[in-house]
Amino acid sequence: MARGFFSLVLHAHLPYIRHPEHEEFMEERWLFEAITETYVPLLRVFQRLEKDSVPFAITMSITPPLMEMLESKDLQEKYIRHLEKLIKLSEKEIDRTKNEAPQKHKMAQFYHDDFQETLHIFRDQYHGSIIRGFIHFQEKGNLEIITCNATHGFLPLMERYPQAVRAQIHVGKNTYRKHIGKDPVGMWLAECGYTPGIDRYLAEESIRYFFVDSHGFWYAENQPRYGVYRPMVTENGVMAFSRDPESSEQVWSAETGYPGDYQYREFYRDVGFDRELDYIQDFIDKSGVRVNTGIKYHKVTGNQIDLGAKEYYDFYQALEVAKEHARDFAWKKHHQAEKLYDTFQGVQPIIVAPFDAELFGHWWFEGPFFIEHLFREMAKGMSVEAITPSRFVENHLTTLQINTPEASTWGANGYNEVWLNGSNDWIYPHLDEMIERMIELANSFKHEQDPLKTRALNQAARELLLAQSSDWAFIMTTGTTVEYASKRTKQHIERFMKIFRWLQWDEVDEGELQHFEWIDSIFDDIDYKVYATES
Amino acid sequence: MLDHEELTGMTVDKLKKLGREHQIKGYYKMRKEELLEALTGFSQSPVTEGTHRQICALLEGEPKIYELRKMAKQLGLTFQRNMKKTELIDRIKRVLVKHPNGKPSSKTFSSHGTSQTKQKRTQPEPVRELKNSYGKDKMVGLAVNPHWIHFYWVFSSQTEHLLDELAQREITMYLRVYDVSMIQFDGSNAHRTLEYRLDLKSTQKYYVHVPSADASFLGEIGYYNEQGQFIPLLRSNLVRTPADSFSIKREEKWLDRSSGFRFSELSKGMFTPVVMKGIGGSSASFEEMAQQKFVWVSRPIQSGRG
Repeated sequence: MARGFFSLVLHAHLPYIRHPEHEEFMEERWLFEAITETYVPLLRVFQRLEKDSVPFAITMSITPPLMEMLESKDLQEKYIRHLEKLIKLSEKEIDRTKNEAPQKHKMAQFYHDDFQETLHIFRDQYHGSIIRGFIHFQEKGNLEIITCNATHGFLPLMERYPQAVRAQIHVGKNTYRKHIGKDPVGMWLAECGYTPGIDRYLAEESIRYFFVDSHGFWYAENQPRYGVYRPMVTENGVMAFSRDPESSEQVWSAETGYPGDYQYREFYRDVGFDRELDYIQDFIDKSGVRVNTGIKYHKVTGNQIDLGAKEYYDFYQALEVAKEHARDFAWKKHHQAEKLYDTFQGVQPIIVAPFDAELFGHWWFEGPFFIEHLFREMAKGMSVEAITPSRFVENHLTTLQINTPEASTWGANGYNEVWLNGSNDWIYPHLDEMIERMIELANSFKHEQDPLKTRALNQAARELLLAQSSDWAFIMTTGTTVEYASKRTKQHIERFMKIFRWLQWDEVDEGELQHFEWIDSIFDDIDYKVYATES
Repeated sequence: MLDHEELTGMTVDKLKKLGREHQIKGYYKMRKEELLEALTGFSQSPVTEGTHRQICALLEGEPKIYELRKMAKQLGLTFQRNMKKTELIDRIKRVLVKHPNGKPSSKTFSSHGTSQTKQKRTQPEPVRELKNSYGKDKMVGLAVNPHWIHFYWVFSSQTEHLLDELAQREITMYLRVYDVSMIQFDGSNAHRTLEYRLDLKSTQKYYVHVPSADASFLGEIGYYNEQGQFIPLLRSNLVRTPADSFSIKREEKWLDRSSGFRFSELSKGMFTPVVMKGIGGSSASFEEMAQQKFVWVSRPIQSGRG
């Protein structure tokens, strides 16, 4: 019998960046890079495990904006064009590296094959819709796909408005149903942002569980007897799981975490920056701004080593390190589970380890292989068994503590600082005003029959939701691509205010509305009445 | 005025030489950004009509040094703490020279240099500066963490008017923050009240450090009348700061899932010890430590991605 359980949770998210008005758009690359480096590699890991009949259990939140982007035909086509170009670049690199270091040449060949395979999987196997791939593994029982609140809006800062929180959660559930074909059992709250009371809205939508950070449990209303290692149920009947700080540190930590190993690939050396402009200009942004291409020849090499002094990378060496790390991590979980089991006097702990999905592959190139070998190790008969939250609740949970987690997030310092500070606080007076006006609109147009006005009302709801993406505030804090984040925020505010005036004066500009519907075309099935006050 | 881009490439020594030639006050003790600003006469942030009015109002009166510093900060100007009043006024004035009419400087954004094929509307949407107020009176408090609260406020034109009147009578405005944990607040029974003197013309938001976690606070903006009575103009929503320590309750509530039966047990605390990453140092620079506070093992900052 297993002494305890391990639950790997991957949170896959990107903000809604889709610009049909541009043939190419720099920030759309975020999605493309994530597909090439994380989402397809994860599917390949799942396929290999399936082929070898290795049991595995992973929970993955695929956020509504990410689902909408992955299912958008024009982004799928753009991605294929992007990948074909990348393949062309890798061909050029094979040629170019013939006269350079042999390690580079070997890797150029590797990238070429890898991209070809990715294209094959994306285009031929899944016909552009990799969500189908994830659904396949959900049906096999290895993967539990959960949802997230609509646009990854940061709920703790909108909790004063029940309608705003309710809309975020309701739309998150609906979008899941639209793409996955059934109701989600769990929800990842954006940034793990929870305040007591949010569980009430989850209960309204029949969401059965969510996650909070460790201190959400530690400082809960009552002390949780088993710390972060058993779920609790709130008075509203929703279950909460909490993050294991040890697993986070083993993988996340900048100093001691696995991804910093010297043999691993260095993220910041990329041919997009290293090659001369003439040679590379067709493969970077059209404006001439250099970007990451994904072809990288260097390894981390050492602590505090100049980018220029990095040594050449060898994938096969790095893979051995990833296997070693997977083994180490599996044993750590084994011992952790045994120790907890003893401490708990025979009660099985569940060790929950949530991460940004994009850490695996995009930031930590070898990350997907780490996951693959983690499950291969665990299959060798350990005291710890991989499990999804639902399966754990179904089979291993007879009694549980009734409790309320404390307000918390997984951002730096554990609270709201990342999303509320001097660099981004200017957005909240606008976002709050939009919420108030949206509620006003939903109430006064509750029974609207006119199709044009209904469209305008729905578009207003989309603009509000898009403006609420926590990503914009996050980017303003981190200081990169701030211009884009500010611009997006302002545009959604402006479009919203314009639509509000149209409805106020009963003069909807259909041409412009159509334009807004086209450029901000998320959630085609949205119903603005979700913002109405309950009567 | 000189070309900003050209100047950016120059060394500080060269810039100082130029500073001397252009008779820039205090050029010799300026840092590079300050020199650049002085020589080109502009700050990075656009000056809106509102800001322009604020600057004029500030300079016309008898500004206090901290008001000038705040304005300089608001304008994104770099300055040193030891700068004299006259020097600060000088810097701020240069912004006015650059934006004589206080017209909003139109901020344009590059369209990422791509061909716009399928675009239905040829006119790109301009991104304008947003207005600050929507004509409502509103005061909002948001918890930042267990010990900090952010307040912002906006005024209706009526309140603006009243504020102007009060300003003419030279009445000082205050932000007050009341600790109202576990009570029905009646305006005078707060556990404690924190008070901040504010210039409402230039300040529309504030971060306050509050003494207790797991407590409830209310904010008010107002002034004292001649009888010494505090007259609130706006009041915020109730803000609760999250707890940052373990619950002292001695009860555990349990649910049996199969029967739905609920029962209580005496809490013996948590079975697992909680180990956190602490902060310390051999020589105490508390200011620095306070800023670091408590470093959680958390998601790494990612470049440009949420």
